[in-house]
Amino acid sequence: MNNCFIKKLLLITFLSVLILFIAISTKAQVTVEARIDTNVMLIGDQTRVWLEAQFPDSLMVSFPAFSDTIIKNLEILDISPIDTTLADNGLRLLQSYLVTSFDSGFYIIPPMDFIIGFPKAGRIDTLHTVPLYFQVWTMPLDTINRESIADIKKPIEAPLTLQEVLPFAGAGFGILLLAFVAYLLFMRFVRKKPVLVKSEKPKEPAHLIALRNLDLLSNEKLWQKGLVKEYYSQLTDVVRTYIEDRFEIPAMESTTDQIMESFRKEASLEKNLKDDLFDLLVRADFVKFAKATTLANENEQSLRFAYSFVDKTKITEVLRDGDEEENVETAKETSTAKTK
Amino acid sequence: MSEIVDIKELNERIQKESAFVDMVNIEMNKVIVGQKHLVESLLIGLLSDGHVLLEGLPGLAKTLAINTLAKIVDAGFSRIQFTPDLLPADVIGTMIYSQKKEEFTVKKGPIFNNFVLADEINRAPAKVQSALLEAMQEKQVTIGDQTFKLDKPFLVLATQNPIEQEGTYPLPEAQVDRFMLKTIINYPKREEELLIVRENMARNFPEPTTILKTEDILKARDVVKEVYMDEKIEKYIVDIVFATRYPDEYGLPHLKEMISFGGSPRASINLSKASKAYAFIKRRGYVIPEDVRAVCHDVLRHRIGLTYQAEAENMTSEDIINEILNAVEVP
Repeated sequence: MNNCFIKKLLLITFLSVLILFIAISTKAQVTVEARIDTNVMLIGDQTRVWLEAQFPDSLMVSFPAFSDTIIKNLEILDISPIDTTLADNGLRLLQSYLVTSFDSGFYIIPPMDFIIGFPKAGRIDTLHTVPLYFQVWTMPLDTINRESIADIKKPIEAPLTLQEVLPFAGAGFGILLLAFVAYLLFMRFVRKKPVLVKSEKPKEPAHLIALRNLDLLSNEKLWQKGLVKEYYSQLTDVVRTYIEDRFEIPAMESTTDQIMESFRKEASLEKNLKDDLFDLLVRADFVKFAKATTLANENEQSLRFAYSFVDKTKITEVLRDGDEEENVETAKETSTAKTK
Repeated sequence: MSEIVDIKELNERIQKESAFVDMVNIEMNKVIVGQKHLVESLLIGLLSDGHVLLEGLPGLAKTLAINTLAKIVDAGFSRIQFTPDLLPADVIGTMIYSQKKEEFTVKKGPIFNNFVLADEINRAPAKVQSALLEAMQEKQVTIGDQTFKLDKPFLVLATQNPIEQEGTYPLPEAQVDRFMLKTIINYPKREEELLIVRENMARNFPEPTTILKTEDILKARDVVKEVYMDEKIEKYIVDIVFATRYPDEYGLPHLKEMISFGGSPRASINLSKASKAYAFIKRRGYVIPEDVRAVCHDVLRHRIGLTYQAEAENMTSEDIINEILNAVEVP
């Protein structure tokens, strides 16, 4: 009975010592560290806080996490990713925080907690770093030399980049385009004006068109070929088109009587011209609508009258006084140059 | 195939045959003061076998003009005053039982005359209007089981009043289309009215003389048919009628919204017939564009349907015809 009890006690003691030994030996393999590049820095300066852990690859380590600040007034500017390298006894993880402070004073960074996981044992443990101390100094004031006191420097103006300008330029262009489209729509649908106006060629004088068409008609020799009706149709078309363009009488849509009625008020036209025009139109009506036959000399006379009517009623351009003087001066200059 | 026409000979014949036109005018002018256009329209209807609808305010000598024309021509004349209680039998006639003969006999209505004056045609209900218009179209009337051909010439001259529309039965478009001409009668001129007053105060009403027989009219109608119409004029007529249907093709796109329907082929036919008759009245053997334009309003005004938009903009068929005439090129 006593032997049995002693055996059990020895076994328990052995196992406890073994577990304690394993625990101590394992813990001794994991190291965590926090360090800072400098303990003293000027206000606004930047320094790095390093976090490091070394452990066997059978374990798992979780780093402490910070977002904006490590402690109050110690602001994080950048966080590096955790760098993993092989070490003698397993793995080495390293992470750095770029920090700054805008308040002078003495700061203590308290111990940081690293969580150690033991997957095989199914437990976790926490290791702490040592606290870090550092001093943030302000700029020393030169109170004797007053000139050394200066205002805060203005922010440095960074040059504009294309990337910055492009959205504004695009928006501006878009607004201009929309405004232009709105203007076009307004002119087209509200003002009822054509949006795109072709630059028109100056209109050819009516008499030139008429004379050209009379020449064509004369060359066609229609009545000589027996096409008297076509001849008078074309002849009256030329004359009526001329009247329409020259006198602004809608002659193409008017009958002979209506054309003559319109000319009755036209004082600038001589009576014999009106009479001859009436004769021409009536003769043409006879040929066109009543199958009248005409003599050769009547056909020639009709064409001659058409030429004469156009010639006598054409608008001749009169030079203005200024134009004349200019022409005279130009002529004088030309003759002087020739003399020289 | 072109028809060979001797225009000179035709012109001479028409000069001779149309001599009565001046006499008719003289006789008409004895009774009717002014209203030259009305007289011309009646003559056109008479010569081209077309019925005439006269529209004008009361007291503008519509009925008197028709009465006078009937007296100038030695022909049968009857006047029917259209009223809301008028029956078709009152117009065309009916079957009457004769106790003496012990059978039904036909009692012909007033339509069996050469000239029928349908006074205030829009006051009778539709069944009476259609009885008359059927006779106008077919030139025959059926009473019971017998069909009677109407005597030639058969001319219906109807009048209607543009005001007092209450209690009237406006003629449907299909029926009004059967009238060759719709003539608008306007007020006489100042001098004409003065003469009318004087003649009435003097109580000296001249009576027209009968100068024509129905045979003369029929003969004249044959001559009117011979009036030469050139292909160019035919195309001009068709252009005008087509412009009432498709105004946008003639540079009048704004009229498209104003016209609900344009002139039918009957419009083209009647415009040709009326133009020929007008040329005959002017004692010419051929038609010129002036003739077409002279009759265009009377032929087309009742054949153009106006939209609500046109009515809202106070646009009349007269305005539309004027625009068309000013847009279609004259040959």
